[in-house]
Amino acid sequence: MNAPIFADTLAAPSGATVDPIQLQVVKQRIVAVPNLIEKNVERTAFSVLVQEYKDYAVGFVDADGRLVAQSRHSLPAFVANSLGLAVRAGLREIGAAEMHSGDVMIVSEAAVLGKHINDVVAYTPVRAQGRLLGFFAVLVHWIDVGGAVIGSCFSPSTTDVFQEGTQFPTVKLVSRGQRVRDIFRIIETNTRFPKLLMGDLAAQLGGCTMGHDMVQEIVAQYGAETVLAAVEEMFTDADRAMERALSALPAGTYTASSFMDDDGVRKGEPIHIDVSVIIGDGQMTVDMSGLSDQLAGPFNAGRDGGAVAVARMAAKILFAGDTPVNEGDFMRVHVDIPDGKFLSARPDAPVGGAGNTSATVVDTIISALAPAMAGQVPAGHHGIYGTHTITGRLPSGDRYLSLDAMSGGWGAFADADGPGPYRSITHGDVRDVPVELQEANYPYRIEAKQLRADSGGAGKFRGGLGIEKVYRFLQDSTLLAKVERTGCPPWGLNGGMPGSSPAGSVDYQDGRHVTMMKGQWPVTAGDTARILSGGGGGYGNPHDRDPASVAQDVRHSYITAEAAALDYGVVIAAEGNVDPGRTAVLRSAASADTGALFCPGQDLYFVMTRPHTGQERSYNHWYSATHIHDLLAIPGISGAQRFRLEGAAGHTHDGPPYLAIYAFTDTKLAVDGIVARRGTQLMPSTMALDRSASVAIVYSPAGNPLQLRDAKGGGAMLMLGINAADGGACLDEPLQLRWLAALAALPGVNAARWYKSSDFQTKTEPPRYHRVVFAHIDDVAALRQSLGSGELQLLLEEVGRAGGEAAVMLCDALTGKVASEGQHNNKG
Amino acid sequence: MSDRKRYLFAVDTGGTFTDLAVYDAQTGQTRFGKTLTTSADLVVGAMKGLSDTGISVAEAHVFTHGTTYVINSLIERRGGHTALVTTRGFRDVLEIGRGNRAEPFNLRYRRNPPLITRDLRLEVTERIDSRGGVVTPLAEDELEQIAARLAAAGVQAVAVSFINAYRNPAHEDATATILRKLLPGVFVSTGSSLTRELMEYERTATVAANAFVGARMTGYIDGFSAELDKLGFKGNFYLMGSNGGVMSAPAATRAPIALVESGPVGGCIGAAAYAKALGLDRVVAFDMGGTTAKCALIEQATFDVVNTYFVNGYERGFPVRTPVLDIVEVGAGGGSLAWLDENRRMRLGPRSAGSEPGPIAFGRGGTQPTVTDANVVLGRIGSHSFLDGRLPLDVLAAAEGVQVQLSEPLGLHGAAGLDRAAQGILDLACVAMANVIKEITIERGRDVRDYQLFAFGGGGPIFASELARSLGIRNVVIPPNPGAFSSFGMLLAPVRRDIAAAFMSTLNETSLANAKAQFTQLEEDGRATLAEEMDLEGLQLRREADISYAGQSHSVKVVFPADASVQSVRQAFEAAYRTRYGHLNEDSAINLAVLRVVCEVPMRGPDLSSGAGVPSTGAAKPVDTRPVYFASMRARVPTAVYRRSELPVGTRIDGPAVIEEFSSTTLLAPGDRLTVGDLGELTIRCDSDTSSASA
Repeated sequence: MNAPIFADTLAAPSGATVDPIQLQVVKQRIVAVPNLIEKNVERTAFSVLVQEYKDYAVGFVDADGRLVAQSRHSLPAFVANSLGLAVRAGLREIGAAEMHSGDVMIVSEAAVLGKHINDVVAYTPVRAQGRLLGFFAVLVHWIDVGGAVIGSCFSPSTTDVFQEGTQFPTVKLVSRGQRVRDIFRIIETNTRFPKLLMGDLAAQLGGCTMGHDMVQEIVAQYGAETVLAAVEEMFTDADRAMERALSALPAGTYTASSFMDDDGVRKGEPIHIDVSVIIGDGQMTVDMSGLSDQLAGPFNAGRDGGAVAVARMAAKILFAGDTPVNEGDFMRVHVDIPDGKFLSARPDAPVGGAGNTSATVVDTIISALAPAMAGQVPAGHHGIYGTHTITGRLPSGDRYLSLDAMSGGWGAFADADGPGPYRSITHGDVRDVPVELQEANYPYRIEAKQLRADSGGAGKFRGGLGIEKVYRFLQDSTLLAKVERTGCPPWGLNGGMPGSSPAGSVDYQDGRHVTMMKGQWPVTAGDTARILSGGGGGYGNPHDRDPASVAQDVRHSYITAEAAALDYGVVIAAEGNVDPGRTAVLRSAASADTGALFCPGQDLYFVMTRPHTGQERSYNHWYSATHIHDLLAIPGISGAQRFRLEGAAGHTHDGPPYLAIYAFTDTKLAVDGIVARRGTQLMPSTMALDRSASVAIVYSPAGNPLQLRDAKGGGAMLMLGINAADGGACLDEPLQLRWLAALAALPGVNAARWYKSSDFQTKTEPPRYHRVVFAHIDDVAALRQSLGSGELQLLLEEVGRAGGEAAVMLCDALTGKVASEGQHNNKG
Repeated sequence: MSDRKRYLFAVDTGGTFTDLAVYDAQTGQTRFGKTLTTSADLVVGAMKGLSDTGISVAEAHVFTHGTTYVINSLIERRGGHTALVTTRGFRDVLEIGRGNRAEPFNLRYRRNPPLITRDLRLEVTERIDSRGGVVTPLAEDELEQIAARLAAAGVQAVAVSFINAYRNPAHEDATATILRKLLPGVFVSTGSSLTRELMEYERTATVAANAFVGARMTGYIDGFSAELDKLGFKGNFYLMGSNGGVMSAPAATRAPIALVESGPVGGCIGAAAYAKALGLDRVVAFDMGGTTAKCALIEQATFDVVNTYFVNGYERGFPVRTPVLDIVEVGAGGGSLAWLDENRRMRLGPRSAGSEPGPIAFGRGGTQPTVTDANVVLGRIGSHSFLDGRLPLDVLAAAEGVQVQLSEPLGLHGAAGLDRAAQGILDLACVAMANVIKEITIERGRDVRDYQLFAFGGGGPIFASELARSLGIRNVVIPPNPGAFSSFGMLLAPVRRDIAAAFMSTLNETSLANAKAQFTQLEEDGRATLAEEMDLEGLQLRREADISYAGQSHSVKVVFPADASVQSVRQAFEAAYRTRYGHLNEDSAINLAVLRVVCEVPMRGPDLSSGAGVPSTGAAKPVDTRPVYFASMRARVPTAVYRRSELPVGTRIDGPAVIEEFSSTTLLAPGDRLTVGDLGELTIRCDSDTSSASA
């Protein structure tokens, strides 16, 4: 060992500055305390709400109520400011001087915490050498505090806070170590579950005391100055990290909008969530002036428990998700909201479901920043708690309250499928109640708890799946549910599709089927209820998803083969593998040159069909993945393509909405083949097809097509169907000479051609259109813009003056050109 | 048994090393060996270690094997092609889990995917209600189609898990019987055969893991046995169970999940044995290795066995319900890396240099300072004493690493700054470990200051003194051969089987009578299963019940004597509850949740006095003196260095001092007083008054 090193070490360390390493040690010890107490609160509590639902928070706040450390596994909703708010209210109302060692204060009033009044914060001062260092605080969701419904906060229809139970302003529950018996008696009298609540309260008070002692132990070991210096450094470190994160974003104003269905009272009136996030100068301001006004029903929250809490949660999740929380995380997070919005509601507003909007609002704030944080923000998640309760009396006569919330799908990322099913973004480490625990305690059976296929939004990366849960009741009970986000499903990002919305229904034994939104439904033995959670949104265009991943999703039944074809453009063959040829047909639809189908001298077979109501997807799956290919196997048919029709340029299209066009090389052979094979194993049909509506016409090429340029893209065409008293002959000349050119002159059109109805028809009635004119489009956006310009209108008027009657339809390609099997060689 | 069978073998296959301990019943001595673990084929390394000892296993009557095979198979997902058969409506139990996000603010949070993919999770029509009654009979005909599908998919293992099977396993049993018949050679396992406790996700995850490992575990155990057979082994081959007892090869083959924590338990068994021999009521067993430290509480010479273990951790992993010695791990070991974060604050871990590249001082490519480097820089580990000098350490490189990467950027200059930074690494390790020990004591309603610290593992003894001080613990005990202590502990393990059943009844006279009948049944079951595997001489049966207040889901474990009365059970429950939770709820009914019988057959292992070593006369003499930094002195002080093998029983040494041996180093701080005990253990009395100066 080198002598100089040894000699130097006898010098005392400089006393002027605090030892940076010692501060690290002290910080680690402070952060550990709430996590230790959390375990104790969870284990000693009585109610499932605390043990399983983690509806509590444990933390240490400084003498000014600033959060120093908070337990890691409790609900994120509390992380923002509940503990500090409670303490600051006490400091205002009682004053620090009157808070003695051994005192425990409680507070729950909506005017202070801004959340539902089941959330009660208890806290005790921590003093050293006469100096107030801070407070140790434990928030617990009290299982029942009176009010209109069992559990107090679950009613979907209260109209003021007083219907939701008993509020406590800041009062001393323990004074210098002595219980204040009167307050205990008031609490016990105002709850439906005195045993459970008093058990939970004992755990809550025990947590305060134990936390207090552990903080004092640290102070005793290192001294108050060092502990306070460590706390300051915790704030500074968190603030600097936030500054770095915010400064990395391009300055600007970012907006997003979503909405929830209603407030349970004014049914059907949406709750608007329009937010702007302003980034600049290392600060973040969330402007929530675009929220709906205070609601009539119980989904309000006060400014601090509402607007401030959601902004802080969003910031924490986006910018500092991996560090323990403290007040330093939020110094750069600001909120702009006028009073009287549903997240800045007045103190008497109904707040029982105060948290119910938080997951959607937080998700909306996060999604606003998607453009600023390329690739880091996922699509929307299921976004609600999905809370439902079942209440009644057990055979013993005791009341029971069964509470569960729903996990659902999470949004996909730029590089990964959406995870889940998990609880909502403001739920955190809350566990589902096990089915066996529910059945052991409550009089119902659960018949299924499973993933909902196709509920994840389609995308290059798929959204996570929602859940279906089915209850069968074994005795009279009351089911209370709050189904939400049925109108605003979890959104997709960058071309991804939305996930499925949550839903709920009751099936009564007498055959009635009731869709649930928010409300209470009495049920009797034998009735069943289904509760569905939403799926996450998809990310990116579903047609860009790796077909092998789509096939795997079908194999795992995460998606159906139908969704694979219709949403992802991937056809799965019978053995479960990707059919590359048919997949290419679907995936090329958006870029296919619609002119490619039409060959000189070949007749067209023009088939318009309609599905039965509610069976559109099944019908389309059959048509695009199977039927059109079956036809292509018939001799005499060389190509085909499918389209969806919509009226254009002010015209409505009232015929069958789907069109398939087949190119015939030998009309007789083809038509005979179709007739011979129809309904056989070679060409199976589907019940989803409304046969009464089908239209089938044979057309023959007429005149000379106009070709302006090779198609630069494709995916659509404009179709004019024209009839005239004489069968159309009188229009042929202007059609060829003027109208075709006028059509070709429209923006986005690259070619135009026309056809006459053939003398040969498969049906006896006259053809729907005597003449059909096609304008092939390679720039759909340009064409769509011109549709309102009036040019097409002039043309149609001219047709009218010439004695014709025209209908105009935009035909969106559902497939690319399908060639008969011999023409592409890439099958299996 | 003939005289030829004089040996008891224990082989502990760990992540880096395979440790061996051989007890010779004739001489009473135990010998140790160490060899590198061969991760590609664990059996190879174990056999290599065996031949290194030079002792023939043909002369062994017991061979106990602890292995990381099960946990590694699960973590690395190297298991059999596995399917799951569930109640209709519940195929997604594994994937839905409990829906929780254990990292609430991590937007990218994602739990590890289930072991069994959805296409291999099949449903069958059947239903049992929460009291065990049949709601819907098992549709046996469906099982034929299921079997055909599974055969077509080429599965090697099938897990069967039905809702409420914990109350009535008939449908699971029938399903297993049918599937075994239809799928010969396929490993079939039911959830209720592994745990009879409620909560479908936990039970299903357990059987999924068991089946996943099971298909290949059979091959592993058979392979191991075959190698032993070749060497002429004729004794009993046991595997080390997570519950602290050994189990026979057939039992381990059926329930490999019972070996999930096979590795770390040996040390706790050893610690409990020493606690008993030394009369220590309350002990914290502390085992520090290269990448993690592990702690467990031992009271009245017994360790607690809990019923849930998270494979890959709580945050991302999955639970298994199997009796596991209650050990808590923290990611702080000799290889843990120290670094400065963006705010230039010193941090330790969670990344570790492991054994490759290892600490800077090893000179094998490590570039970031580790806990071991800090120990080397401060003179706590001698540069030429590590592994008896077989691995010389590069002190200057370690010092440069700490200086350039930590002390200088922190503004801690010169030699004093270097020492402060190096000590800082140790302080952070110490506070992390102290937090974990506090967590396990607080969680159980215990005061850590009432405990002694029993330290072992390669890194335990060097930290023991300062860790004890920071916890307010006054006594530290270090056993002989602390670096090989885990395999030694395995020599002491009894055969153990925990047999449990959900009971779920409020305590009253009627339910008590039913409980006793159930206990008798469980005892018969235990006796019968064990009798298939071994001689029951010395069999001990212990009744336990998990009891909670009605409506509360957390329970405490209470010993349940045969003559228990309603009154005595309630008293025992309340005593345990009060200890754990600090309060009672006098007017609440209590619920007998789970009944359990612990069956143990003791093994005649080594006498602990064999660790006392060769007694020598005269006072111990230091072999060297070197400067060592002590936090309490804020300085380096000349410190005597002793060889542990040269310390006779009764030796007393006052700190500061360093005690070196092959696989470990023990450090005495100034003020510490060491005594060498009758069993060769080192007892260190720490003067905790100086604790405030440390850190």
